[in-house]
Amino acid sequence: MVSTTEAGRDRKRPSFKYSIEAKGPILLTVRAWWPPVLWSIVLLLIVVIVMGAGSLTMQKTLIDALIKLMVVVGLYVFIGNSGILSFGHIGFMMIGAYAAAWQTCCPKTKKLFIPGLPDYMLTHQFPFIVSVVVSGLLAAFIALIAGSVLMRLSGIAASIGTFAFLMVMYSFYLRWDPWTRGASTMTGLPVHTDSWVMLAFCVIVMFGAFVYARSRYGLSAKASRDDEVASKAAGVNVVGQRLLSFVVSAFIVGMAGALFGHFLGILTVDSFGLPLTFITLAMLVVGGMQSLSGAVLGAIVISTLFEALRQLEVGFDVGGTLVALPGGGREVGIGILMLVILIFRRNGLTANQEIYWPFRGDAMAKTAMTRRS
Amino acid sequence: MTTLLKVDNITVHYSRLAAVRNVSVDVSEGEIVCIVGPNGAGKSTTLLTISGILSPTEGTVTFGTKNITGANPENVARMGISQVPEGRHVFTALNVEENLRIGTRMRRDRGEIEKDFNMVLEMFPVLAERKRQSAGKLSGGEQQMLVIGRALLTRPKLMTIDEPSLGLAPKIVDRVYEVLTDLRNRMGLTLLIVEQSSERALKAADRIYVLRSGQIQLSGNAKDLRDGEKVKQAYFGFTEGVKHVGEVAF
Repeated sequence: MVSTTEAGRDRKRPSFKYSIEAKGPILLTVRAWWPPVLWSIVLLLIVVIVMGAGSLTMQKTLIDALIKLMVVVGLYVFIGNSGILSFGHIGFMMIGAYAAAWQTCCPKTKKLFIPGLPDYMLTHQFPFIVSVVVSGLLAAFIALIAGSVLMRLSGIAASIGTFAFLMVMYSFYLRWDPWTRGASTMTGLPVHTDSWVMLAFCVIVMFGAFVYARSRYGLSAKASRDDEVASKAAGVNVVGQRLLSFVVSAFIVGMAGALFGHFLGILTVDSFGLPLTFITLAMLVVGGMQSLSGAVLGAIVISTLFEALRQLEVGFDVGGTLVALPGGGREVGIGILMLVILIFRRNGLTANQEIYWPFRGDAMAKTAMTRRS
Repeated sequence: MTTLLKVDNITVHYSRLAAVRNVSVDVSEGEIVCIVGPNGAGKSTTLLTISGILSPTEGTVTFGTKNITGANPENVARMGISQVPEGRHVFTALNVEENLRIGTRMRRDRGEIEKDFNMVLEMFPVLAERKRQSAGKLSGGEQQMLVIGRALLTRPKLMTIDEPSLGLAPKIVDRVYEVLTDLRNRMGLTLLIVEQSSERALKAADRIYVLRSGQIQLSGNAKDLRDGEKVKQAYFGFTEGVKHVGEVAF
């Protein structure tokens, strides 16, 4: 990972007062992978605390928040690297969620609710993990088809294109009765998604996103984001790189959708609309669009605030009188908060930077991954 | 010397306006060729057509033996024409090393990449010093070096550079040209440079083309044109006027 000469150069630098010198291979690896390692530890702590001390509602909220976090990491893979804002990713979440329902609902329910499925799907039931991955793959496949058209556009045109994609998928699923039960609720998904499953998926996805962003492919996508003409001149296939990041992010978001289905046990097309699109985008923007740390931090911050405001809306008993925010206070509160953050930190809480090994030689860690690309 | 690039009678339109008319440019292997001309002469248009960003309405561009007229820019870059676009296009969000790595993006020969990479860092010590610094924070001259370095890492057969002197202090421009001449002398790199200053072009180039109003006015060996009189006439166009004013003045 990091060559010995680098460590040697490191040692010559003036040392900080409190320094943990990354020496052995383990620490060097940790240092090179610090952003996802850090966030994995943070998420682990949050999960442990909430599972240990939180109420049942809190635990449900946590799972919901982790699902959103996974979606935001998926969004980051595309938006952060290609620089194109996408309004369409919740469509992939919906595709993933319904694909999971097709696979894991028990055959009886399927025959009753979604008789349009092919016979093989109707009579068989697939394991949870398989269904999550397959659902992700289906979302990725749809992304490949839609993306090969959409990714030829640039800037705002591409963003509006993804929005159109969401609307098309939404309307399609809403009227596709034999497969999705249309506007009615699809029930009967086994509930598998708990905090630990979500934690595992979030950790895997964070590492995956980090590896992608540091790879030659991620680097090329970022180059095309910064300067399309120059990246073409350097031989970067701009459309191809964008498409790759689109497909990878759709895979992640599709898996998140499947997990979402297995969390609630019920699905409605309605839940994959604009509100979810905007809350996940808000998380990414508040955290900082161009870094993994930003995506994760934004998701944590907004989820926490959302929950805190919800508690306020329910109200507290102060000396016999109930003090509470008026209904809708949550949305208003989040709106105001977003404004404040964006006014004072235009590039999000992390200013689009990763949070690197804080102790020493952070700049070395930053490029430890890229030097292999 | 064999002809590496042959631009044959191209005409390029921006919608209905012809920016370049019947322009032919030849570049032989190992040559430094400069295209000079005033603003709006069609110099950049010619380069953009070579690199595939624009398509000519008439005429052909041949590289080696391949016809690359209207090929898409990535493919032209992959064939070995490296482009340094006008105005120092660095990737500001990436650091210096990552910027250079983008140049090796389309190569597969890992060992050679490392060799070239170290060579570029040796050639531009300033970049080696700032390897981890964000490319957006480099000075104009350093950015120009970075872009040239990145273009070099694609191992081009031909490098096209659009106005390397744009917005740089004369001293830095001297350094840029020093580097470019050095590249040709040491590595036999072929260069096609677009330049506004005829003086600089005459100093650096083997051959020059003077372009005005979308047409070639003059072409020839830099040695033969060294006194600059012919070039000036071709450059400004109003030959009679210049002489006349001159006579009155003196």
